[in-house]
Amino acid sequence: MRDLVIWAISLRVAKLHGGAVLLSRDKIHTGELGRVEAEAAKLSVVPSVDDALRLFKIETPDAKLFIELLTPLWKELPAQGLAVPAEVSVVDVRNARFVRGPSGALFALATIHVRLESGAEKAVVVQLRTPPEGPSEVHVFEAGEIASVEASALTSAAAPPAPDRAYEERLERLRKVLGE
Amino acid sequence: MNLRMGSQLFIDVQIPLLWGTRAIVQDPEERLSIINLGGDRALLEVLEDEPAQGIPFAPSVEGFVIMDAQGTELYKVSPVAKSITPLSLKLLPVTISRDAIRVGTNTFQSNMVSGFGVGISVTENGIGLGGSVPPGLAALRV
Repeated sequence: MRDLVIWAISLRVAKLHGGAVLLSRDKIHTGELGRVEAEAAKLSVVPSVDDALRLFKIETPDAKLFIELLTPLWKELPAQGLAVPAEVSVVDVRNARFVRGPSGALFALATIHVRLESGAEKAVVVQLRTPPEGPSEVHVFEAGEIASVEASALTSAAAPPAPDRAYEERLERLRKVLGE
Repeated sequence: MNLRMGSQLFIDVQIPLLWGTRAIVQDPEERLSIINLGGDRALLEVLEDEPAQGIPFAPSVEGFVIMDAQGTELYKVSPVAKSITPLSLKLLPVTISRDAIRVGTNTFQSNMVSGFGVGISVTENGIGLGGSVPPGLAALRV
């Protein structure tokens, strides 16, 4: 009953204001039955705050972190066959994932839309490796290659370098809590 | 282990809070750690409110999302709200506040669980207070 009340109020608000966003993972709100009704009222239903931010084209935390890691390596993209301008021109970041290393992200993978020097946009898969020692690496793949990239990259990142002292201390605290 | 967590007192229990195959532990400073016991060995996924090393994750507005090796979103951790919300896992969300442990709409408050394998267990089928450790789980060691 409460689901239907929320649905009815959401539709009413959307109609009144020419559009609205409902944050919900409820089956009643995300199912096919209400889709047409929602579209007619310009009601967008998204499952999380992050999806709502994407809808409004506001930078999400995962996109922000990925761009932070990519920025120092941006100038290497043309050598990877991606004709991007000198300044960072990421239009969108999707499906970003990270694997944590001793001092922050060690590995990152995302599908990004970049603006090329020609002005056109292109979607590519970008893989970043930022080891605590040694140079960072960037690899660019065509968007369709994502499956093979994911499997190989995540497997190799599953063996990160030895943890640092701060991490060991945190592990030790947990071991004490567990009574080890 | 002996542990006070979310106003519950767990005495001589092996796993204070078992969420599916994952042990959830909150230390005295209220930091959450999550250990997956579903494999051959215990796999630390969250250490003191942060993703553990070698674990795929994505930062989110409320905290971070833990993923499996294929990139499937498993659950979301909110270090501020002290909540764990399933994404692809079919479990009830858990929130550990100072005065209670909330599992879905159920609230555990000021219980003492002593001498059981598991203090509070959350499965796809229900919730239990005080029980044995399900077979097939790895030992809780990190």
